[in-house]
Amino acid sequence: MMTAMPAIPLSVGANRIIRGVRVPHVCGDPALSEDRDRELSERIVRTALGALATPVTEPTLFEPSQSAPEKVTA
Amino acid sequence: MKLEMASFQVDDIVLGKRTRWSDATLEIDPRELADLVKQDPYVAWADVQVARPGDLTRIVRMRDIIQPKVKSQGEGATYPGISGRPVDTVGQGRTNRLTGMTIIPCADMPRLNADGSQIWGSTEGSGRREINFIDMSGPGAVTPFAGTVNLCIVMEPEGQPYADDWNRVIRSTLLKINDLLAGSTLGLDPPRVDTFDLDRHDDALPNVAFVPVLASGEHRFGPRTSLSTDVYGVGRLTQPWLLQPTEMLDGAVSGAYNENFTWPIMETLVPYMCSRHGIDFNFSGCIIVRSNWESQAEKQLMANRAAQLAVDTGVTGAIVTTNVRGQRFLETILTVQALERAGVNTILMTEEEDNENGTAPPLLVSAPEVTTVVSTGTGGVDATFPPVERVIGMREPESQWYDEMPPIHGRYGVSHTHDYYGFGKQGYLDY
Repeated sequence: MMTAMPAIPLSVGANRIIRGVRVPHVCGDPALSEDRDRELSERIVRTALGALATPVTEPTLFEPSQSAPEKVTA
Repeated sequence: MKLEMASFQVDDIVLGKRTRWSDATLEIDPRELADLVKQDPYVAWADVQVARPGDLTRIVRMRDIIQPKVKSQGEGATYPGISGRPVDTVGQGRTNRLTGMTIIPCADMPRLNADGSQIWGSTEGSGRREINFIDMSGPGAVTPFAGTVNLCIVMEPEGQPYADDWNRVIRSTLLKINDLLAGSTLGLDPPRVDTFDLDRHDDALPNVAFVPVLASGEHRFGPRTSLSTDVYGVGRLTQPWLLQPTEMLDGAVSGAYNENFTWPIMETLVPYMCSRHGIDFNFSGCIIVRSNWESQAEKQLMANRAAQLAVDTGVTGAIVTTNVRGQRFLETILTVQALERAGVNTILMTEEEDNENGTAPPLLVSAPEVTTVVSTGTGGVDATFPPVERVIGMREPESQWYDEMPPIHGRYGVSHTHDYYGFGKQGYLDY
């Protein structure tokens, strides 16, 4: 689940949650240049792919800005 | 602050040759009112119609609903900051109001897209079901406006103006009519005066705040949009506002956000809580939390600041309400959580989602601190709306508007009543 509001999927028990940018644009930022927007999108998507390959036992929040997942218990 | 509210009851509105209130009857000159509306070059056509309780009438395309109010003593103007009105602090002196009636501007409004483009032509032919209307009689007459005499200002624009421009026209027109009607009571002896003296403080009673979480239009339509519920005319995403309850009674918080109108914000919990001030509790203030922030951190911060504001003003109890579900509900829940964590006993009053026969959660998101909730229903109506004889809200209503309407099942994005403050006529057994 990619979202700018992780509190919601955490509270309903989604397995893997990736923090997005903003509610209206989860995977990018229209205020950035095209190159930097793409870089940001790629980082978020790569975090999501990494999350899929990471075993979890409880609702877990993955931060695109970090290489290791930040564990948050619902 | 201390405010006297002078009430002039309106049991009926009659069409005549002048604007005059007398013996619970408001006389209006429909041509004078329509001419006043048509003064605006954006308005191509206008008509004034009255909907009374019990009529076989359906009101459609409502753009806002207000109670007519005018300052008779004290600073400022009612509904301050809207359409160029002064932003002088209101809530003191005396306000004259017309009770038992509302003014409802009715007009088509284009659907606005996030990129600023817009589509005129309303919902007809779009396949989208119309769920926002007011039936004045029958089993679907569940809104409080089925019990008031409603003066409907029906307007059509010249061409297809930009939504924000058209909304400004609708707002300024509404307030022109407000000033004319409520102004007719100036100098008259009021049949009833309620004094709300909120300066009095009883140390033996708990201090309670009203904390409405109200959607801002800034994230979608820009910082200066009129398509927002405003505080003194400002609809921006701001940190929480602390207002005196009497400011709210004068319309310091007003303006429609979609189908969430001014009337419910002003005329439900706030006057009731004012009437219980010094009896059940001290009504310490209103903390207005803006919602529609775009990240969780911002939402969390606003919730934290609202709680801190409550603590700093000595508040020990709070009623939190919300006005649009969906992502706005996160600010609401976080506000309840922050208040509880700060030691403020908090009640959440909200519409809930239809639980789809137990397969879906009734709240989009919750928290362990949310322990006391007053449900105001799902926004749905479990009754068929019978056909009507008259439709108010457009020049030539299509036949479908007169037809029977099926029951409405309430869930996010589908609310008929928009009853976030418990003002409707449905009870628990109705939904």
